[in-house]
Amino acid sequence: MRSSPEVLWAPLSLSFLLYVAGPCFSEGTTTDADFTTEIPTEETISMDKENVTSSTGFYPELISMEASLLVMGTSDVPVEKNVTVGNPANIELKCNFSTTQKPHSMYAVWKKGNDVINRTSNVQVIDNVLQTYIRLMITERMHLGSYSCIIEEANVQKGIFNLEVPVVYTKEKPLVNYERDSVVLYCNTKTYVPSEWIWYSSNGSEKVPIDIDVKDKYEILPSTLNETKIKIKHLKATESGLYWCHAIFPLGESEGKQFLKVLTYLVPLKPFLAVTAEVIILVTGIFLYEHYTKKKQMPSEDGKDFEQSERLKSEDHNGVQKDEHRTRHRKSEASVNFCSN
Amino acid sequence: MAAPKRTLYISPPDGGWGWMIVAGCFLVTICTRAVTRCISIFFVEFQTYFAQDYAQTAWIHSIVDCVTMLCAPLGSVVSNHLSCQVGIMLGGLLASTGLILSSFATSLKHLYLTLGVLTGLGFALCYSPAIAMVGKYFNKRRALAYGIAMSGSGIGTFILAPVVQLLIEQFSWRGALLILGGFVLNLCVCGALMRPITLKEDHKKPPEQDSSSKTPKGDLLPLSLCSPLLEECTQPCLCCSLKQEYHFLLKADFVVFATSILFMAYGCSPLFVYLVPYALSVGVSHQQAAFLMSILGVINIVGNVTFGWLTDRRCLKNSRYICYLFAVGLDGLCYLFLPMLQSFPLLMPFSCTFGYFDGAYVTLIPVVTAEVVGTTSLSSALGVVYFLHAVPYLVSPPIAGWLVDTTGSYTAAFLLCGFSMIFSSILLSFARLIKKMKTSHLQSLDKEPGPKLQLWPNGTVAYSVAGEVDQKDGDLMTTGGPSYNT
Repeated sequence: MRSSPEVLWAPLSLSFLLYVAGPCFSEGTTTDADFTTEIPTEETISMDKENVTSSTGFYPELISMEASLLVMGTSDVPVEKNVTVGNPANIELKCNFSTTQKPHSMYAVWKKGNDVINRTSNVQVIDNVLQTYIRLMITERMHLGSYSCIIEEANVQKGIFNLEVPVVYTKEKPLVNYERDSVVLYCNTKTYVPSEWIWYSSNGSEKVPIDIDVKDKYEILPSTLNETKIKIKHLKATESGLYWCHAIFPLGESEGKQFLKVLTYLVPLKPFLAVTAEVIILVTGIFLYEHYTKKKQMPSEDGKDFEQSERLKSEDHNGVQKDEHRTRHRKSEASVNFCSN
Repeated sequence: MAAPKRTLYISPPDGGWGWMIVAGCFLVTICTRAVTRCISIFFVEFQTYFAQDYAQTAWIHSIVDCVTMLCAPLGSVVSNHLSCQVGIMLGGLLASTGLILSSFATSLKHLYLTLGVLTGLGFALCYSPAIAMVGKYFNKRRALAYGIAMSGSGIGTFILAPVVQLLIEQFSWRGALLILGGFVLNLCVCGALMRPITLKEDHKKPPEQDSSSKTPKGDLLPLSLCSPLLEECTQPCLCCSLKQEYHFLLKADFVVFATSILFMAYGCSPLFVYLVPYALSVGVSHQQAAFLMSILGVINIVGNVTFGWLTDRRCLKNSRYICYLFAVGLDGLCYLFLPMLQSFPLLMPFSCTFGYFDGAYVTLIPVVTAEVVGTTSLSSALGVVYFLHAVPYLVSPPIAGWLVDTTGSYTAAFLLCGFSMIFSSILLSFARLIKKMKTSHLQSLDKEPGPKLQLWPNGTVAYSVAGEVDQKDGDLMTTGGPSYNT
């Protein structure tokens, strides 16, 4: 799609420059040698005309947007701001430069990428803040990109606006699921509504569009326009891999990817069995120990401290019972022996 | 390790095998309370998988919590009539079955039944008997033992939450539930650790049956907490034995204590639900709000152990009841300040103090219960106490939510909770004051006070003595037991 950016570039940039309306527009300052030589003059003129009409409401459906930046004069690091453009729009970009002393240069440079698109002396100075703005009409994919505003005071100050299509959000972590189960993959674009959603699956290293018409396999679940949900049924281990959702916007497309891992039920069974074995070993261990200590305690019980009379009494009591029991037992043993003899 | 089975201990061993019981109880609180809290980690997964909203998935947590608390008395009954070991192991198996079955869930209703009811029931069979067991093995260091045992829920949540998260990432929620089911089987290990112990008070009855003239004072109820005395089971009149076991329900002390528990539980639960929303509403960032919650959790654990240790010191040992009042009252006071604290630096100290005293009184609940009813019926009493928690836990967050919605601010809800806790504390202190006055009245009536009464000059024991004086003389010996050490 972006086969000839170089060719398309210049007239578009120019269209911005020409579109700059009202007080911002200043023909004298906009000429840039490299810029104009590449462009056929006729086109420039036609563009110019078009823009003249456009300013009087050629694109009445365009929404208006505004974005502003504050660049502190103390640092050389450019300030960046991402501006999401979901639909064709009129955008006003505004840069506020805060300088340490009253600014003396009274012009600012606007660039798209590395190309100067506007050099304007139309700046407003309020106290120590130098303000400049540019108006853009974004109607095509190529209009997106990075726009920067630059002033040269004591040091070069730069603010950058990145105009981009809405980002597709999806679950970052891989989805894990099991064979024969089903899974729901989803993507969303916050508040922006794409014109279409397309799902792709991976086939080796290739992207293959998912055929939603396959019965009992894929199902697009009902959802709001800014999100998409696909349900994959009867999962197989071979279906592990990357899945992509494409959101197509008027100004371009953006995609989100999701990794799906299909496991067999045996995988979690291993740790489960390990834990179960640990429990069984511990329980038998504890019972054996209890049994062992009980046995060991039995004979020595009589010889224990007799501090408390009650304890002594009851233990005596137990002892008697035990003895009785033992003697009875012996008797019966004897009788058995007798019988066998 | 000098802990032979069924040796007749005159007083709790305060150590030895008791420490294994504490470890077991610690593991039980991890496997029940901490796992319950961790179930909420699964909600996001359930929501996407079953395509349901948050409210419907959140029911699972409510059901587990509610069933655990509501069935707590059932847990005590099972343990009293079979044995503590069998009861807890049975509970572990039930809870584990619930978790394993829910790993094959095909609908949310399936989860309500398995993860909610079955697992909750399993937890109920384990929770209160295990906690009661600690009270049987410890007396002098009871608060510390409880502190350590109760800190399991906090520490467990800390460890389990990331582990469960990791398991979900590795094995999805199905695998995670299955492995969690295996982990919960550890309740069986705890159950095996819970060797029955027969205290003097438990064993008083049999000799009495043989010759009633020998121990005329020993008309203590023939209660056997987790006792292996299977004869009780075979007794034809289960109803009668239940009646005797729950005899304490009619004690004035216990009724007051139970009422105060209701108010206390009403007050404490909404904070955990509304602290983060409140913090966000006053402009604290998401991360800081979450940090407040973790601080609360950590300080809670610190409160559990240190307050337990503190109340076991000699100077405080006999005023555990007062310490409990103090902790609940201060927690209520913290609430009253909450509406004024509107920034992160101000909410931090709140989080610390509230967390500390929350941990403190949670530790002291079983200790005070034991003081009120005696260790004999501790299991049954704890069952009732946790049952009483369930009701306010259910109604209090919605009431607070309704107050927030109607008044448009959190002030009314927090103040109500604060006053509820302070009222709970005041109720208990009044009850104690009345008891104290009664005792002094009785003492003045009695021209030469009995040697027993002189043994306990300080307030707490006078209280516990007073509790018995008007009922049975014989109870004096057992409930007053702890103060022999002073």
